[in-house]
Amino acid sequence: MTLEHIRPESLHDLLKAMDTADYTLFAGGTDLMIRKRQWQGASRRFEEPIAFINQLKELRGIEDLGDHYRIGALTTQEEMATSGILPDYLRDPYHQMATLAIRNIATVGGNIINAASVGDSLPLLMALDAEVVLESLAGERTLPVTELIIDKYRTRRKSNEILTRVMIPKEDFTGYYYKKLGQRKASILSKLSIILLYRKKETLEDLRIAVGAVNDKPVRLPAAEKTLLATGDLAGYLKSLSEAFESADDKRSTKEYRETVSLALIKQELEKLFS
Amino acid sequence: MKITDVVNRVDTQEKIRGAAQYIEDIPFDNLHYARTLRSTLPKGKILKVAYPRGFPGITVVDAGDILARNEVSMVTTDMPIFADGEVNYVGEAIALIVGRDKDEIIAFMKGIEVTYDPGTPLFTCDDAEENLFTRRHYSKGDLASLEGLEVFEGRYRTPYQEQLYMEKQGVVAEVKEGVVEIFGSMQCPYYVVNALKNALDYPEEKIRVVQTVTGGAFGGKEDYPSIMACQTALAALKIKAPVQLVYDRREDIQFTTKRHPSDITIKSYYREGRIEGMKIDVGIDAGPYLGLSDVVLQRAILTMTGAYGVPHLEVSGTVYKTNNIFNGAFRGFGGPQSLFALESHMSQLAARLGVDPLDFREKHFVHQGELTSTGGRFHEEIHLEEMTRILKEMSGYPHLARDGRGRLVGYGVAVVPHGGGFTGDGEAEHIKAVVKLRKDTEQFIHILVSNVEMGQGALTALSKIVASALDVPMERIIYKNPDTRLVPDSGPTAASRTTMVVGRLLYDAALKMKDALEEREEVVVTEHYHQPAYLAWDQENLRGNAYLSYSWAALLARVEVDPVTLEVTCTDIHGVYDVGLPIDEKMLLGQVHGGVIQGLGYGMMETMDSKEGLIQHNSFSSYAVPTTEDIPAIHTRWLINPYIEGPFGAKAAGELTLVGVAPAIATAVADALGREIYEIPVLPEKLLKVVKS
Ligand SMILES: Cc1cc2nc3c(=O)[nH]c(=O)nc-3n(C[C@H](O)[C@H](O)[C@H](O)COP(=O)(O)OP(=O)(O)OC[C@H]3O[C@@H](n4cnc5c(N)ncnc54)[C@H](O)[C@@H]3O)c2cc1C
Repeated sequence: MTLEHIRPESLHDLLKAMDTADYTLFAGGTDLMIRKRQWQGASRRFEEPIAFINQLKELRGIEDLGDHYRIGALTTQEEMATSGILPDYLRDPYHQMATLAIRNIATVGGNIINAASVGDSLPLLMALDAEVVLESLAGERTLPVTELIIDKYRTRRKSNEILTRVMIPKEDFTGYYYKKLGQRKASILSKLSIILLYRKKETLEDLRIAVGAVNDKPVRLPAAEKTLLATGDLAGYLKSLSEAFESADDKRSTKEYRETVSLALIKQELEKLFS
Repeated sequence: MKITDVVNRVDTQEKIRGAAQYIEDIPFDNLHYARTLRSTLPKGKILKVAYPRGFPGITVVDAGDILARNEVSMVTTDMPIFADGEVNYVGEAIALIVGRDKDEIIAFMKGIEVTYDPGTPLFTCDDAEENLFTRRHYSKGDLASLEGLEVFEGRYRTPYQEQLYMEKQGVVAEVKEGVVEIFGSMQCPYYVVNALKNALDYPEEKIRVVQTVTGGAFGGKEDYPSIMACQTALAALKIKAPVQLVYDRREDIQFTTKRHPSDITIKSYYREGRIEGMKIDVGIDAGPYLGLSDVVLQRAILTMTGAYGVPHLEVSGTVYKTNNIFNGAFRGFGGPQSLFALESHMSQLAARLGVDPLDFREKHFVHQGELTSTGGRFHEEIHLEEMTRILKEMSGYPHLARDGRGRLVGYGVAVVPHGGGFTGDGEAEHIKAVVKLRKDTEQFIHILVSNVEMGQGALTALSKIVASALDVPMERIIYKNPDTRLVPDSGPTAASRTTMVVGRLLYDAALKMKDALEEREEVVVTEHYHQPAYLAWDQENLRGNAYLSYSWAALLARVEVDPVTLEVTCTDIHGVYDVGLPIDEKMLLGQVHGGVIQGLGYGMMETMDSKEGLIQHNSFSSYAVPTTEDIPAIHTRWLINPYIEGPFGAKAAGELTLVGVAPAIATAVADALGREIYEIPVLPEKLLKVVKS
């Protein structure tokens, strides 16, 4: 029996359908249409029936819930980039993704579940200790983004689960540094990205660092961050980071470049913070 | 109208409105689609091709369907239409799989099994005998007499470059009443005619080639459409239905012709701050078939001394045969490789001598009346000193600000020629262009040439030349995409020759028509190309006037380099261009901007690696070309220097605008870092190695 593509009217209808068969969830489709590409004019390479989900309005929107932001999975990158609610450190990385036309359709949830090593939202969400909510007919479960992502293109999402929202704790960071490096200045996948968030009043009180597009999964070292914060030992932190890197030469860059430059950039920013 | 009138391009409206019909948009009854079965090995014998059963809608067209010759004729005939028993590169066409339904074709192709006996492929250019296609050499003076002078030697490397036209390669073949008709995106309709004549052994009357709206080409559609036309013609003859072959983007990037990678060594012998002699060795990688590569090599070696007079020379060049991708034409045609090497070398030697790079160049500039590197004479006026003066004035040279707000700032220059038209006596001996002008009874004037609009503005430029020569409004000129049944062979749309050579023939035809303009009946004027009597060329020994005329550009690039990430930003390109008389400034600015951007991509970011003969950067996401965010401020000035043989004084312009950009940027980066650079693109990854060394 071949299943039909569906376009459910409600989340509940979707979850019911997903409980009985495997569907490929299609949000903005900006990853899927490329992954399933085929000779133009022939059918795309979808093996499973598609469930279109973009019409599920309940999965869309940005809310400030006091101690955290609640982001619907279908919120677009452009809505993130231009949000009047979100702070700059959250908007900036979304603003530097893709191009306006893509950002207008690409979703927050899609970037997470796609779990590309170059997914630009992942280092940010990991640095912010964000959590995702996965829902199936059986109910909801909450998982830190760090745990959700296994490695390149692999997550702990089960096939009957949909990501409904992202919960991002609100922090009163006093500053941030975000750098995305690509083969050109815009409209390009990262060969390296760095997010550094901090709260510095009299002293440095909080510090988060994540590095994207180097390893299969963004690198964040919470324990080393704590030590750094307590001791101010930059060299020690950079050494841990360097040991955590397991990059490779590929079409976009080289292992040498990614690792050398990310360490140099982070060192430069840390020296400013600890001076 | 007058040539100085400002006009809008005649083709922009229909393109912007989406009304233009590209080959993929044109409906044909009973259209069949073709997909190419490609070799997965760089070299080997084909032992067996096993096709699946049970696909009644599918037809296979391969070497067994050859009618006369299994050759794609383009200068040489060494490339087969379909692999016959052996393959020589990854992606070589073994067969076309033809059907009505694309899904069925894909299903069929999944079931094909090709068995090979693998051979030993060659991927590098070394001097093993089986690795050589052609060698060329010329000399001047007596280099041996310079033994004992100080020398500076550098070895320069340039990469593949992909044309990346917006519209992919595509043709449709159809057979109508015994006539093979090809419709497609192309630069050279008569190249396609000639390839078909050779492949099918058909007389010209039984072949018709029609250029359809072409969405960019840059040389990529000079030779390649001939291959696709031969393949689809055989398919259409076999199935007796029209056959469409349009490549996928990745297929197009991976398996169609690229700019030749090069490896160039220059050894300069100098005395008292002046280069007295040079020994130059140029190597280019052709891939497995010669195609246009020997012609590319000739332009490369004949461009090797650039804008400079060097008394003693030994120049040699080699086309290497490998099992990498088959390379072909690309805007500049050997020039970008040579000029990157030469201009880098000039700046490096100037820096080593502690002299200003522009002053150093100026000392070596060629002048009117002097002999060229091949013993021809520079007949036209040459204003390189004046161009350099304008360049200095417009850029504030030499008082250039070094403040980059934390970034390293560098400047680089390039002063380059581009020879217009075909090399040597190619126009007179091989192309023999013919143009026609026809005035119909409704008083419209038809331009009948085989040159095409491919985005560069040929429709507008040639219409403007004819309208201005006749002093009639442009609306009275009709110039349609060429159909070889209706137009004579005015040659290929290549080598920056369309305005300069074909435009001049049309100008002459228009002057002849002028008196008959108000007559009622139809008037037809035909013009044939004749080489100016003061030019002579000996192709055997590469002696004489290598080009009809030279266009010139003097460029200055300003870059900023991030000291930590080594990312390069090119902030400004200043350029002074001598293209004779610019017949349309707006269109020429388009050429300048496009040339700068394409040259910037070549010099700064476009990376294309080949692994075991397979191109790795095969998509828009990995093969990064510049976007608007990467484009510098482009400052342009013209040096007006009318060329007597050109229409209204116009010379070649299209390629000139690209060829000097990469060396200007690369030497600017070298200047910013205080290091020498011998390879493009100047990627941060490579700069990291340069800085660390
Ligand atoms: C030109 C271009 C440029 C790009 N540039 C960037 C860039 O700079 N940075 C970057 O990070 N990415 C970039 N991308 C990738 C892409 O835009 C993002 O990954 C995007 O966020 C994916 O969202 P989507 O809604 O389009 O996902 P889709 O393609 O619809 O889905 C992606 C995957 O996620 C699954 N999925 C989607 N939504 C859910 C959900 N709610 N629950 C469970 N599973 C779900 C799908 O089944 C699929 O497996 C670019 C893409 C293009 C085409």
